[in-house]
Amino acid sequence: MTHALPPNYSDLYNLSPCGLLTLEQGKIVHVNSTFLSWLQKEENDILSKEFTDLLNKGGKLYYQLFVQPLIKMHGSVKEIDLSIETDDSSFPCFFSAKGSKKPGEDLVHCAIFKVGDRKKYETELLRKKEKAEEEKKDKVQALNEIAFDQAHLARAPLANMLAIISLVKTMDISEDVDRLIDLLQTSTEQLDTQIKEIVRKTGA
Amino acid sequence: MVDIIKRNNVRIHGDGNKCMVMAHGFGCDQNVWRHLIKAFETEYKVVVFDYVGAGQSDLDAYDPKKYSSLDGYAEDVHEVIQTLALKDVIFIGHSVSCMIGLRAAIKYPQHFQHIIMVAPSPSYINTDDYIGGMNREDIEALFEVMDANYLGWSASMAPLIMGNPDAPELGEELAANFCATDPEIARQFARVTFFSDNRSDLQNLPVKSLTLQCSDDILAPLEVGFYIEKHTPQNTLAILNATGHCPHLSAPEETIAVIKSYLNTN
Repeated sequence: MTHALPPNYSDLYNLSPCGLLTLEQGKIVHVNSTFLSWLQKEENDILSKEFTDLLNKGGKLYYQLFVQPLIKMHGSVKEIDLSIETDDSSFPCFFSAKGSKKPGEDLVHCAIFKVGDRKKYETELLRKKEKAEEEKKDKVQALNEIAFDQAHLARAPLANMLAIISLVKTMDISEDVDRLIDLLQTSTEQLDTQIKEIVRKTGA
Repeated sequence: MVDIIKRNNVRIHGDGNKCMVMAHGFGCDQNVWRHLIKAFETEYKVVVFDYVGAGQSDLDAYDPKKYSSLDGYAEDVHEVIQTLALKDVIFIGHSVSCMIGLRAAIKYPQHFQHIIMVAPSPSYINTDDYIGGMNREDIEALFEVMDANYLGWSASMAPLIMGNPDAPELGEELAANFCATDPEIARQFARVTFFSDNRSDLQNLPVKSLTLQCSDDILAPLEVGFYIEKHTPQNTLAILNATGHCPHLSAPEETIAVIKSYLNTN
């Protein structure tokens, strides 16, 4: 479906807040003023150049391997994260494109959004995510170390208690006391088992 | 018993007596063959599949150890051929699949009749006496762009069901997920692909082969096509007018014509 064009169509195209390009067999055949101003170039400098010449080597390879097949297979791509090279630096962008549906035509219409701030935000988020993961790892490790150390410290007095219980049982004691010592021994052994378990889990 | 058909999402088109197996390249799946399937399905039985980790394959079957070299993938190609009891296979591979097919044909020559290589490269990295087209830094740069574009990927994308590839009304969601794969798997496949060196295997290819070399492909420059022709016995080199790395998508008519003409004379 084609809508009527607004009267200031040329302004809309040239002053659009995003870069607009049309590629024919990968070569730039139309470009708007916004995109030229980002590149600080004249129209003649980039007409009939390959679009991928504006990308760094990683982007060029990515375009050939992923973007172009996607446009061919499904007619469009959206929000591809690429970096556009200018003469003295580069800027990050989101690249969206639609292929022409007319038979025999190999046109691709592209919109390029400069995303410097968004990219900084993304980088910041990624950095924070990595930092949070790192901190979590450190915390778990610290907790494990404390549990491991404390468990070892607790086992020494326990070993003493178990030894003393064995010793008391060899003495001449009344039946009542003997039953109590048995209970004490069972509880102490249970405690020892629990602490061994902590050592096993944290020492892994 | 592993269900090979399910694992590799094997699909068969046409029922000719002669048989073709088409193997997609890195980053895509069997849907890239739609033009070639149409061209060959009346005369051939055309078998297509997805490598484990790609398309609609069984992601649970992904084994990082098995797929740490191209041989893991070559074994899968052989298993597909064996499961379907295919004979005299004409293998058509794109990109990294050319070397996977080559390795399968060297190990199991009895199954193969021709290896047809679309945009192949035995080694991607330049050395003192070899032009592969890329340096190690270029490949690391590619990995960075891949990582940047995996931000939005989530595991819930994987099990979408691919409908009829000929249907024009493929949903936007599906389109966005075409070629989407688990980032960890994609990273490993990328490393296996781009850091593999199969130059010394070329001389061992026991069957006839065709190289389809694009005229301007940064992933496989012209020199690579000449290198393959020189070092592979019984290899025919065809240089296409098509540019880029995917002539089966960007110039299907030319690609099909070259393959047909080769098969008619060999």
